[in-house]
Amino acid sequence: MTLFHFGNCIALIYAPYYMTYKYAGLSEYGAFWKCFQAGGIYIFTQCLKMLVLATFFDSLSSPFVSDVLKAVVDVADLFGMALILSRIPGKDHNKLITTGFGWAISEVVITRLLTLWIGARGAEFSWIYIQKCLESNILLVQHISTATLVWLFTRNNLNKAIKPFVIFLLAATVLKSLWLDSTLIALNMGPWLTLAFKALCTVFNGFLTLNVYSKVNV
Amino acid sequence: MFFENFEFVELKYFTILLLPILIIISPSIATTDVDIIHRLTQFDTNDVQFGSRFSNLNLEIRSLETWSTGRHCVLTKMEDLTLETYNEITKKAGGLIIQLPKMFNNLSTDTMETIYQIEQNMLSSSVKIPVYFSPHNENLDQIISDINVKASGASNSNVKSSAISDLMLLISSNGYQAITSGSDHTPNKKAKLPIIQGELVPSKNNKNSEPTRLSTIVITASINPFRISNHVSFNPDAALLLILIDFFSKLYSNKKTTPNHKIIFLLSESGSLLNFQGTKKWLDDNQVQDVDFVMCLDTIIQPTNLEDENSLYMHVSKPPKEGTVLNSFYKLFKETGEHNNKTIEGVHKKINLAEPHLAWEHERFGIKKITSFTLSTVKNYKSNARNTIFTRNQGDLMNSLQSNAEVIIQTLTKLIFDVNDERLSSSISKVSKKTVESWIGIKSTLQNNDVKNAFERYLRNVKVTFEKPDYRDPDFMLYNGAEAQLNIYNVKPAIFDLFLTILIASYLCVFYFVLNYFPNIYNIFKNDVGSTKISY
Repeated sequence: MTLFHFGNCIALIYAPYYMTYKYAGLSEYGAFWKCFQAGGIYIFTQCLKMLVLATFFDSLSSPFVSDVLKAVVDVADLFGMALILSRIPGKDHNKLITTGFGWAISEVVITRLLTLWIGARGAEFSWIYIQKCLESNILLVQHISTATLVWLFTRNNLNKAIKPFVIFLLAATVLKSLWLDSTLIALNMGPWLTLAFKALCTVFNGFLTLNVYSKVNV
Repeated sequence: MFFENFEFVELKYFTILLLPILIIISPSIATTDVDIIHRLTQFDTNDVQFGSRFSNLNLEIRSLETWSTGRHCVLTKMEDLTLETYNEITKKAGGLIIQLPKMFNNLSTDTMETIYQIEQNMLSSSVKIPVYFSPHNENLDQIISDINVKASGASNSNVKSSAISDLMLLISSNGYQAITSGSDHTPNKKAKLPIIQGELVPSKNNKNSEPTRLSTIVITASINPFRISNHVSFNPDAALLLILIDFFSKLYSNKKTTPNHKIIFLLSESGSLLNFQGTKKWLDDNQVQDVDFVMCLDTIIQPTNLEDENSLYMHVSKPPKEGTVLNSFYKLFKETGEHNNKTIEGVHKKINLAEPHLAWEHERFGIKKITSFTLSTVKNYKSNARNTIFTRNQGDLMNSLQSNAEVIIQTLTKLIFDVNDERLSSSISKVSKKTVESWIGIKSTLQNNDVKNAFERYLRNVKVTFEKPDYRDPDFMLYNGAEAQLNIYNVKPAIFDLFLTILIASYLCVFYFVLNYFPNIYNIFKNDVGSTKISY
């Protein structure tokens, strides 16, 4: 709408990231360069995904099939995160937060910044930009918990009883675009309710992950 | 090698610089539909200014009830406007966008008359704000009803309003911003008004009558180059002129007929609004001799049902004297009219030389001492019907044009061919609907060269001349920017942004506390685990 509105959106989208960086201990460990590296791997993964999508899947197939295929390609995200986890040195908590944070911030910078600059600064007011910002905040939590899950999965000393649960959560995260979006479309909720529902799912997922993590990391 | 490397480095830096620059200068996306709107025509004649003198619009849209300052642009339907509100808006508001009625025909008589008054006012005065017309469209209709609902809602809540509810109303209110692009109001110095002429001379076979001794009838009509806006064309006079050309060219080309007049047809693209400049130019350029009379056609059909459509008026500056051709024409005309259930009336109005703006086209000829008159369905030259864009449906107009054309053709046939047999003249003067149909949509002389082609096909000595505004002391001036693109944006007031900032700040505070107390949450989980002593 105006530059002021653009400022509002920027504050809403990036202040939580800044706070996470500042208060979750990343700044103390000088994790800036590590986050940067994580971002690089994020971009690499996305390029790879695009390459695979463009090479092997044509857009002509039915929407359901193409959605499933896209979700399958999203598994690459997990490999990307695993790569970051294996490459970046760091102490337990810090390593996970660095990975999730680096992943999330590069996603937000690459996918949201341009949209906001062009859209939120325009004359037309639309709630969609505020919604996108809030969604990015949800994604931050989501990515950190995904990083934790990937880390848990790669641990050898994980309890056998917990392992299927971790795999279930990982699968749920990767196929989120499939089950969550189709549920939301089926329920036909407005954009705000959709957002709230996504937030609820993510927080729930986060708590479950935290629970497992705390058990492992006593 | 070095140069290659150098170029590569240069390119890299160039890309790094270019991308942010491109992003920064990238325009904002317009998400609303773009509508083409038409500006109230701006023109000058004899140094008097008319129409809307401005074109740029970037203002908040308000309804008729809620606008208050020069920072508001009023958006309304033509039907809802009255002359008083129009005058008030043009004095105090910042802009005006009028949606034209969908079906003018369906409006009540009172509304029609109001619209005519406003239209007349628009054409006879100049306003210091941009005034635009939009054809009826759903999108705009939606916005108009939206702002009107808001207006009624606001007036209801005035009864018991508290400061907080007012503030909430202010925050939740949805505004609209109108922005025009592609509009300007610079003088169009290259404007030219085409004047096209052609003549019908009796075919050479009947040499018994000397061609030099033939007296001449001049028939003129004007195409209105504009009215309140340019997008509607309604030129029945030009259509009638072409019907006459069509008809008489057939009669003249027949070798058995013996017409006793030469006819000059003149179609100029300057109506009463431009003070018949085209006719003036033609008279300055051409010496016409042996003219029996000049017949000007003006508003030959009534655009609406408001006035009686069965009357035809013959406007003269001098009452016809006994024994002149004009007098015999008048008598024939009256006779034929009665036969066709038309009331024919002569109206006499002296030329007012003190008035720079002439009332009728025949006065241009009258000044040059040429016998002339105007045929019209309008009795008073001040009538709103002469320059309106609001008309009845096409079918009615065509019927009206057809019947009036027949009367005029019959009269002229009787005069030119010296036949006084009513049955004969009425049988040959049938004007087919097809002929009317093909000419009624005329827009301009130069459009597709249709008119010029018709002239060249039926007439001889066809000539097109152009009247241009004088470089130093223009008699008339037309302006650019007849149409513009309108974007309407959904906007929120500035206070809403402030409110949003407060909300975001409090959200961020909550986020900060959650982040700070996160270790505590983690410890709860951990202790929980510790108490149950699950080992791995």
